[in-house]
Amino acid sequence: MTELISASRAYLQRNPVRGVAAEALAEAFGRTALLRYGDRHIICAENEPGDAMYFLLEGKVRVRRKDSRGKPRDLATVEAPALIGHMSLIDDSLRSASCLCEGRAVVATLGIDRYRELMEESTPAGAALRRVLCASMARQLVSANHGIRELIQRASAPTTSPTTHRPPVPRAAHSTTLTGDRDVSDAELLRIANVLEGWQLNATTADVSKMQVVHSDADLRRTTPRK
Amino acid sequence: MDAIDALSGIPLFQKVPRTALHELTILAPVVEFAEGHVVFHQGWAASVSLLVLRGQLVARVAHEGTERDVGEIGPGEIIGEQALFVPGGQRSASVIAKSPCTCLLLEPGKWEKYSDNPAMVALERHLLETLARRIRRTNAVIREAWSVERDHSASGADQGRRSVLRRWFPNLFGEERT
Repeated sequence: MTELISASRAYLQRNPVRGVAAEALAEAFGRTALLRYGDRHIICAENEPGDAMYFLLEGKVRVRRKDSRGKPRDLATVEAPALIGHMSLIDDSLRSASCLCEGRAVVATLGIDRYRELMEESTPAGAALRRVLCASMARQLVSANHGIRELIQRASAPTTSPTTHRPPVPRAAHSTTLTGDRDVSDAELLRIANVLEGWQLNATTADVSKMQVVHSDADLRRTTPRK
Repeated sequence: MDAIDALSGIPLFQKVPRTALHELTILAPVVEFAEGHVVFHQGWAASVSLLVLRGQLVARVAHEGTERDVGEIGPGEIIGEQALFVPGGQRSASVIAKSPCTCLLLEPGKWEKYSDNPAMVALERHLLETLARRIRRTNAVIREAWSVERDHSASGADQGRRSVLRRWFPNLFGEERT
């Protein structure tokens, strides 16, 4: 449990979620034994049904997906602490990618039955898991929307202008690598898609915080009194 | 019909006791909007979210001087849920009441303490499903754009790149399909 709490604390430091304590997040994963895997172990495989989600406590995981021609492509490397494989459980979809250990890794597994229990539970552990996943997906969406908007701005800008503003699209804060055999635009679309899948989640927070405040909908509280 | 009745009528709260719904309305106050009221303005800082109890709203996006409606929002749907979890964001669309509306005002920091309330559990599950649906939808659009873009690049149709982006993203941002 100490290992889980420590990893939960590190996860929440990197991805703060209001109202979630590290102990509660650790408790959500606390009923299963920690699994230690060797290099190249496949934690989950692309196109298989999701029967569990994973909390990567130590090590790295390589994310691999087949492209439209069936060629496996390494999309990203995710470092601990990280949550993996939750989308399949949330919407009963197939795995969008395979996850392979890169070196040795320690993983806590949350099986689908326990996951479903936690989704219904009015306990700190249940709330922690729901809120951590909500926050993770909200960051994915905000970051991806930000990237898409930049792409549209570029596409809308006159191509002949030497002064066209091209702000950098958010980059992963750590160890994410894209293969470089496609053109820039193609790679950017792929990277935004990866943000949505959650593989480049840590790229998002800093950029979101830099968003310029134009107005505030705090006025909503003042201008819409209850009848 | 009061707010509790309206909440009870929404599928996600149907199994939730009225006492829990009553507590929810204390933590998340009921707000009402007249027809035509601009609830959120595109570009504003996003700090709250709304759960629609009654009425219809429309999401509207302004782009390059034109405005387009990109979706309708009805009872049971959540608007601006990203604001609950990601501080510092901006509204990506304006939201306007198409008819008189009643909503719950969800503010970060107010309801997270009540993890033992069944209404909160139901609301959080609903948030999860909503976010997952939006991710899948956005991802599908990106993948389609990616695929078409690649074909254009492979065929040397460089001029097509801009039109591809403009063609596949409008349903996210309201730009006209061409």
